[in-house]
Amino acid sequence: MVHPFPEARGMWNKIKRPLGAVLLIVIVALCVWTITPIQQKVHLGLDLQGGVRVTLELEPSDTVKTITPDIQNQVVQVVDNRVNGLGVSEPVISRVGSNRILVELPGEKDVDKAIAQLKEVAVLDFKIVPPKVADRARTDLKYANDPNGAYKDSGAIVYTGAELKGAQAAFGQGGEPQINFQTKDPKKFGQLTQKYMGQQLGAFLDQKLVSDATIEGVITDSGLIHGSFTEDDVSRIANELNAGALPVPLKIIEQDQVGATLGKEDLQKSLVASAIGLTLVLLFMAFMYRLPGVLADIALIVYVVALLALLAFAHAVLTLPGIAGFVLSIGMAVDANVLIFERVKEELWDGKSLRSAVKIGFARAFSSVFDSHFTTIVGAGVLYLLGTGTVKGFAYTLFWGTAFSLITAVFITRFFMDVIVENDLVTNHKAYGA
Amino acid sequence: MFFRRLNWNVVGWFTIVSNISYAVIGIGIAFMIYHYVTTGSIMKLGLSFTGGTDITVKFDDGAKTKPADVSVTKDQIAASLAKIGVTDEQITTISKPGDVGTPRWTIETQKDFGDQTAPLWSALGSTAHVDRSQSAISAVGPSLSHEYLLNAIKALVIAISIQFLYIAFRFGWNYIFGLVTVIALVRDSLMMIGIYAIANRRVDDAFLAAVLTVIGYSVMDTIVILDRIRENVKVLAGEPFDKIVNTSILQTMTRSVNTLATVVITLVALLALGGASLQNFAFALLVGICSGGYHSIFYSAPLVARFTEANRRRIRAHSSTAALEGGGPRTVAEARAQGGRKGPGRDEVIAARKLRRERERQAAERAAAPARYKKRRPDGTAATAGTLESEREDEHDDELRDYLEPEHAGHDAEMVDPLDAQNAGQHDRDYELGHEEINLNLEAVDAPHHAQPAHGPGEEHK
Repeated sequence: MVHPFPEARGMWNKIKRPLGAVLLIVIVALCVWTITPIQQKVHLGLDLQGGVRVTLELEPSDTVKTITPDIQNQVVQVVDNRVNGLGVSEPVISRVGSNRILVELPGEKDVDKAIAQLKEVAVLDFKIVPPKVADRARTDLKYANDPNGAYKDSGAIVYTGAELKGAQAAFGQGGEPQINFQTKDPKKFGQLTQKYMGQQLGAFLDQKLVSDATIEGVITDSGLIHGSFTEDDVSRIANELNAGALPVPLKIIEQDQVGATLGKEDLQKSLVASAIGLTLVLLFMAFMYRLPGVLADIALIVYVVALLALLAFAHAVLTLPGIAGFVLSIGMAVDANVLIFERVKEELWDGKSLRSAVKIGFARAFSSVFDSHFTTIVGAGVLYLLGTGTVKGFAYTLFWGTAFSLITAVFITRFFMDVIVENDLVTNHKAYGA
Repeated sequence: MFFRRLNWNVVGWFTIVSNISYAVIGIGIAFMIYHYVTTGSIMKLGLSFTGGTDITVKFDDGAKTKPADVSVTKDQIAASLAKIGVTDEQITTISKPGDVGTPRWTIETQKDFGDQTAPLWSALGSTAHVDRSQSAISAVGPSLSHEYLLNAIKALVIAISIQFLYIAFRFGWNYIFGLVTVIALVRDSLMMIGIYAIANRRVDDAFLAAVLTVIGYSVMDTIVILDRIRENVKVLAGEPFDKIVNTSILQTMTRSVNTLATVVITLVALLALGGASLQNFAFALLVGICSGGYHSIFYSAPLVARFTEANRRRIRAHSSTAALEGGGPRTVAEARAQGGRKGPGRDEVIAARKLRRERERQAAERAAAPARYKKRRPDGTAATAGTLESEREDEHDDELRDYLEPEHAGHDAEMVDPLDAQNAGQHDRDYELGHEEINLNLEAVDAPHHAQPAHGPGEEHK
């Protein structure tokens, strides 16, 4: 190519390398900044920090015959509200397919309770309870909790939980837990309380009588439910009332629960294993390829930092299979270097000058390097799309790792090699393994 | 580094290599039958493919601070599980460092606890206090497991198809290379399944991940060797094809071994030191990468030589039959009809002749060039590809036999380094251009044989 402005090209050649060096340092600095402090920035999957993951299937009910995307969204929203009430730090709620949702609660300690709370269909009904039923329920707990007992024997539903604006856990005057609620339709509630003045208004939660009280005045916009609640109960019920009712029942079709300590142990072990693996690869490269090997090692370290930065930046979680993918990609990242350096050696044996050997080695090895990355990326991509939950993490890190290593192994190593070769810093062919 | 100096006849090992992988697959099948007889299923399938529940449980005495281990027996656990209707469980212990007294227990069962895992924990808790922070459970419902199995098969088919298309595209829609790669991939997978059957391990998600990774990995490995073959077809023009293949394998072997080594190093570290689920991945990948490496180095490339050989023989047989049948086409129309696929036209013959002369000329040049890396023959004379080619051509023998029986043509595994050819200046233009795509042209090797029935020696043959 004939350059239109030879002086400009000269200039460019002069500043090309320093500019590259500055760019590289800036990128590495950015990456390091992104991942410090590493404990906070790189999120661990629940197999490493403990927690629970459930896949819930939406089951058609009598009222909702088919699961539409709308229903699915509604469920996601309700579950999201409920999960927020749990106080889990980084919950994940996502739609899977057309009739499932995936919920991940990393770090959740009391998994049984959490799961129960997710699926609970909290239905609050207000009914007028006849005195006879109220008396019996007061002494007979079984009767009060039996859907065919107190619930059935009471009258029609006069007001529902769906017509509440909000609910809060609170404490009564005696310090006993109670639920305060606000109505959406004060007029209706007002008329209702006026009509049934002096009678017993019962609150049924999931068809169990939880509280009944005599209506002593007209209530319009707010009221309270008190019964024999514990503190946990009221916060849970309030939470469920706020979140609204699930439109369809949910069924757990897959779940993973991991104890926190178990995850921590696995994390430590796999970190040690990965560090040793990385060190061995670094040593291997330095031993086999001398100077270029050391340069490739530097590129490899840049690669590790860059991939961690990507994970932190994309808010991806690192799982155990993810670590496997990461470590595998470390081993594969140097493939490109092996290809290139073997080629450079051949060119040197062939009597080529160092400069042209490096130039030709990189150029000629590139198609093979590209092949290797392409074929690996295809495998990882297919796995990501069709694999199960656990292998997705493996596919994710392998996919991005392979894509990243194409840049680090080829361009960063190339940059170092060019700087050294062009400035004749090391001219002994032995240093290049030839 | 040193592999290229070795005098290995890798192509000649083809039968042994192929038989070894058959043997592994065969032993695997024997183990499958054994498993079938003893357990009723040929392979252990992982949780995601069968559905069911895996439980890891740790018992202690329930003390708030520094809980002590309590001893629990397998029977006690089994009895507690029987209470909630679990009878098909397999209970094993996994001893981990730090678990001095009682190790953790793993329980595998087909039962789907569905929405309720609480009864399970309370049942286990009836044996001894369960430390939930060191316990885990994972459950997959039956409907989901069918879907996972289907997806796994889908993933395999899609991945292999894409790789096949890529290879075919990469080598100019040369079906031999694509076919060879797919055959090697199928063998890789079979060998992995065989080894899993022998090791009696569960074929799980990690296995699927490994198969998909290994497919990519060994395709890459194969491509590098095939690329070199394609290049050497030009550089070593005139050499027997299987010799070209052998040289290519040896030239790329350092690379193949080193890339394998870096991956194996990391996987061994994971296998030795990683946690249980990491070990699963490491084992699957290690088995896969090793069998992938084995096949791509020792199997795929020699298979290319085999196929090309068979192809060439077919073409040659075809053209000599045509010659026997009555000395070529009788009418112009017939000649045109045959021209497409059968005997070569006049132009082709002339082109082939030209090519051969050009090659002889180059060979002469090569012989004259300084022999930097040339091997000496035992009798001290430097043989060149060109002379071999002309000797061989007159004999009309099949190259494979020539090659495998050194005394026959007198070229005792003489290998001319491609670098000699490069020294002769053949590739300088490519070098100047950096990298240039070199078209594989197997026909260039075939050409003299196409031409045979038409010129002198070919007639004698019949």
